[in-house]
Amino acid sequence: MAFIVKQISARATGGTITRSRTIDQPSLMVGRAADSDVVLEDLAVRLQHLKLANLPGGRVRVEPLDRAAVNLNGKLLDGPREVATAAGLAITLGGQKLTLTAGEAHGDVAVLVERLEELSPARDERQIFALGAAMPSRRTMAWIGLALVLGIFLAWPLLNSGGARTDAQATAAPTLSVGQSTSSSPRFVTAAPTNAAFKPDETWTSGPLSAPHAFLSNNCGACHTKAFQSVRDEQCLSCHAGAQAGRGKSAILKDHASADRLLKVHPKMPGFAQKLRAAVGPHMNLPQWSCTGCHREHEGAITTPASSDQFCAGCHANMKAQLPDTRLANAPSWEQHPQLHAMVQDGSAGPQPRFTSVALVNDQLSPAAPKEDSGLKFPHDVHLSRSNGVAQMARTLGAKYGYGQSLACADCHSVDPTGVRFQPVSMEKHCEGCHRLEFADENGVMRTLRHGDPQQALADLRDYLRVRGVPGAIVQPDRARVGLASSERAAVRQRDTVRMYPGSVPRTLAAVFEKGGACYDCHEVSGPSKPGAIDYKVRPVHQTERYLMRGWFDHSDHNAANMPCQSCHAAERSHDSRDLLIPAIADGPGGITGCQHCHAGAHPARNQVASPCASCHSYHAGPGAPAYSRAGASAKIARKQPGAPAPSPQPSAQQRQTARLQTTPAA
Amino acid sequence: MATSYARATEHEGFMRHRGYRWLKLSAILIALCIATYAMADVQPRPNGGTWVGYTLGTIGVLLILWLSLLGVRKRAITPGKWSLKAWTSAHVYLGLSLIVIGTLHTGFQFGWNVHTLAYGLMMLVILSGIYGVIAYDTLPRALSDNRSEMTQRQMLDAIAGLDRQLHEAALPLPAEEAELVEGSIRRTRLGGGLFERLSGRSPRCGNVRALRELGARLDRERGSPRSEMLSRVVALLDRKEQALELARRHIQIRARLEVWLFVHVPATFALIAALGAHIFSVFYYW
Repeated sequence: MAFIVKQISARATGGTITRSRTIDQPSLMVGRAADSDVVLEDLAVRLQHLKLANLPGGRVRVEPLDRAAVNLNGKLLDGPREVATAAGLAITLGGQKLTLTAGEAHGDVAVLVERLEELSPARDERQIFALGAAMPSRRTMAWIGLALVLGIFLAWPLLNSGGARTDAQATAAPTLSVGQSTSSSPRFVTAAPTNAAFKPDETWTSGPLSAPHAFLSNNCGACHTKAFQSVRDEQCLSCHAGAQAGRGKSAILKDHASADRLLKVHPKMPGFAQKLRAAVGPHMNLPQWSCTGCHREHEGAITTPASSDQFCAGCHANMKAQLPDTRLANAPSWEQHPQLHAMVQDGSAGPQPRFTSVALVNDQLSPAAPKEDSGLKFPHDVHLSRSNGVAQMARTLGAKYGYGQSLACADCHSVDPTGVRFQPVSMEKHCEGCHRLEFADENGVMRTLRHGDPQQALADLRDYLRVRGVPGAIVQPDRARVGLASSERAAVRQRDTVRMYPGSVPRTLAAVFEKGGACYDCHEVSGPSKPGAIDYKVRPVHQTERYLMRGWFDHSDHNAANMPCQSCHAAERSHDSRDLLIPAIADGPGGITGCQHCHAGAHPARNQVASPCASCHSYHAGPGAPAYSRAGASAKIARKQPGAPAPSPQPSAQQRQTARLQTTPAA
Repeated sequence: MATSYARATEHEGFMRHRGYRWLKLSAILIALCIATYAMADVQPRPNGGTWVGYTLGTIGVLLILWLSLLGVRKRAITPGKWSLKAWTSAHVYLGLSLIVIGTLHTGFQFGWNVHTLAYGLMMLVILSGIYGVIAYDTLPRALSDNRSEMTQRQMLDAIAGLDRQLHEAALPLPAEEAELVEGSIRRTRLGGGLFERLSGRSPRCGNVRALRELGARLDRERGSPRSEMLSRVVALLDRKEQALELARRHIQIRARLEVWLFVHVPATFALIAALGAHIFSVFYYW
């Protein structure tokens, strides 16, 4: 009935040593205390930890002391337990293992004591000191990073690249309205993007799109239609080719010239970058003279800047030599700018006027100067005189119509709502104040010839004469009240709107159209087809709205600079309505200034106006103002003019309307 | 040969290799790039898509690929003109020149896109490299000063020796106190995660707790028969704490010395991937 205890311990030189002893006692005290039967040098073991008692019948009693933790065959004991040793018992306490088996002698119990753990935990030098032990390996991180970046920024966008403009986006495209009643310069109608969802290939963008194109930000394929091919003009023109703004068609973009003509002239282009591009571009899938050559996108708010004078002069300085058939004169610089050309009516009769381009002459009134036949008889000098009967008439009627001491330009010429040009002069608004068409006063009711429709006027008059009879029974309106002196009354033949020929209706009718009649004074009358007929024809009057078709001229800018009309237009001395009173490039006689009087190219002297090519011309010359002028150039110009009041750079349509009403109260 | 002997004996770091040859060459490269950028009139504004931009970008990508080959090159140490030292010197100075070349290539246009990602990764690689150069210049001295001739193995052996002594000294202690000492032996924290290494502090270390609690007990029981036994244990714990501090300081300096490579190398690979995506996308959406 003894315990055979075998204790295995590690040798200092390596390996193990087993000590065996026999303890002939019925029970065995196991613990850390030095007086225990089995001493376990383990700090996790209590001083008195376990009591083993040898029981008859090959059984032992395993008793943890003072609730010490003892594990028997893998289960924590919660109290004393009696078990058979035959099958072998495994008891663990702390870092020690006790294996109990039946001893060789009957009734003995063999106890094998082993240490399960090293006394001091083994420490691997590399694990402790090298940072690599605490980090994922650099190689792993490198591969993960590589895979993540390629996956997110290459594969994902690539698989989701492309796409085309949808109908919804086409509708959302900003539309450019040109030449509408409220504005003669194109303005964008803003539209919000309809589809703002993120697309993976947006991560490939090299920068934000310009504001008009921002709605395409998540639709790369709208412009980049083919992989590894630069954006082609077709993509631009798919929107920018509309002759009229409309659904999905946003602007008129006029070709500067055909590509073959551009190529004939362009080798004069300066600059290393252009040469490099010209040399390399075709081999790198970059066609020359494409839209994108000038219009770089993904540059944020920057839009294409106005072309520099050198850019223009590169081709235009010596164009005649490169393109012998061009109708354009060479324009090497502003100082050597060719004479302006105006589109004028050629005077041919017909329902629609015909225009031809003629070179202006600095002296607007010289016999060599071009003439324009609008069909109207109108001497400017007579109407603008400060001392004649017209002036007297203006003074008399001034209270009613707002005239001054004599007629002024603005009494007949009212600016259009944009301020750029003038509205057509109208008989009813501007002429009839003086040139009345009343021919009879019937108790205060004025019978009036209808203007603008000779046949109707004739019919009205014929009916009147049939009913009333021709002779002097008609009381003539008192023309004297308009204040004409008798000599002038005769001269302008205003006394009688209709000269009555008693007893002859046809003669009275014909007199309206004949010299001295109401129509003849202002209009060109033809007919009759045979003597005695009354089939007179009045030639329609066409007023030219715009003369300088290739350049931009804005009256409001010049008005803002306080320039009187007479400084540019020789109207006060013009006796013939056919005089073309358009100022030319240089000054004319009589104090008439031409453009170069104030405008002095891109680098003006003091008191002169900066005017690069782009201030009047745009590369894609459309009907509107060049971008340079739209961008508030007028404000810049005004600042250069000392003493000139600063105009608001872009007066609203309403402001301009107000201005017009103030200048033409006679309306 | 006399010259090779002279070079072998006189230490010349990679920073001042051959009288700052690569510093000068990089400075010339930077000056050329800045001058080109400043003088070229590109329309409508400088960016990576102009001829200046493409030129700078090509120089940049070639430099990056060459610089990344240092990892391959350093595994083959050769003397001579293209020694590893020369290569490292060029790596550092040409790498620094990329700050200018890369930034000019962007034309100062940045955004949330793959292009700026590549730029950001490049700057991360360069900045971590700058840190590395500074670390290599300053930290080895600190490392050497700290360990005072001790090897890492010796530090661990000292701790293990103290553990054995502690074990022996604590054998007569009652269970609760023995457990604290056992905690010091079993739950000593050395090393640990990145931040624990960089901070040099391990507040959850079993030794700190044992020292604190047994020290308090010793104060309470001073003069009692147990105090001699306790004070022996506490003195051992204190010595162990000092040994641990030395080792932790060593680990901290080593972590500072090595951490940049864990940014520099993986970021380089991510950068190469981003560069690939950058170049591909530019020409895909030409």
